[in-house]
Amino acid sequence: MRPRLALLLALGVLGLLGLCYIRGNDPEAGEAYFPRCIFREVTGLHCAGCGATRAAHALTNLEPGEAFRKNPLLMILLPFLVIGVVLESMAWVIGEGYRGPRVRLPGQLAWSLPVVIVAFWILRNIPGWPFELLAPR
Amino acid sequence: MEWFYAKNGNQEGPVSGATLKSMIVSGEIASTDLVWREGMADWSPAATINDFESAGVVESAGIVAPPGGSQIPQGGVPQPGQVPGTPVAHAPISNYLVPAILVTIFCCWPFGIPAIVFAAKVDGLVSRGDIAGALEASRKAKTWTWVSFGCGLGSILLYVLFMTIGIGAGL
Repeated sequence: MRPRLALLLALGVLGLLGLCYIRGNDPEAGEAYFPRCIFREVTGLHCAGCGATRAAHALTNLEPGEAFRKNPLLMILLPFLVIGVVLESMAWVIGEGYRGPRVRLPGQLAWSLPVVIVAFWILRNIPGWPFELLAPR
Repeated sequence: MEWFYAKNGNQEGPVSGATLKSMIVSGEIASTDLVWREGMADWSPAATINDFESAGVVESAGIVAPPGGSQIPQGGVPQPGQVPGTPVAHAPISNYLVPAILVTIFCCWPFGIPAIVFAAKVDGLVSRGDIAGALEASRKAKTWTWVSFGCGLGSILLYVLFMTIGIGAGL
């Protein structure tokens, strides 16, 4: 088997095991081990990804609304990320012979994505309505 | 200037010269794929078209059907290298956008931000024909993605290590 395909399959199996673990253990119950966000540990602030583990727990238990409350940006980006991961993984495994679609960002959109993510990162740390809606809750 | 191109035996287009150029640069159109525009006698491999901007001065007024209708010539396509003046075919340039977003969200370190900024620049540079700039942005996006990934993985490993020491000391 090609090394890249083997590595991808191994990562896929690891990812599935991780999702099973997240599904079966509630990160907010404090019983199971979950890695904590180092940015939050050091600064006390939420990072752009804070709430992602809890969102994954909610989503794998088929509670999309709960997942959205934990990390709204991740839930909006998730469908695009899933498609993107599939396409880019195929391109990576197949290599130069890959002729399928790649993830491309049109020039007009180039700055919007970094701006949205940085804005989300900053705004979700501002106390009070409406910014508190962006923080995990 | 409207261009048509042949992909897997199907006629595609029309697209602008700039779009066609960026598709060739990104690898979406191979150098051996056939292209045609109004004024050309027949379909030619993309590799033989040197300059899309100056290839045709006349602005196309409406779309004209390519010769042979939808029939794309099969076979007999010259290989790159046999054609004099073949431009260097570029391998597709990865923009690292997906990994950059993933490490930003899952590694909790701000190093993902420069990765996304550089990744977002790649496709715009390719479409403007700045291949060197696109490769540089792609390389920087890759570097920052790995820095962010390394820091995320490292901090998790450190955390596990401290947890283990803590549990060991607690016993």
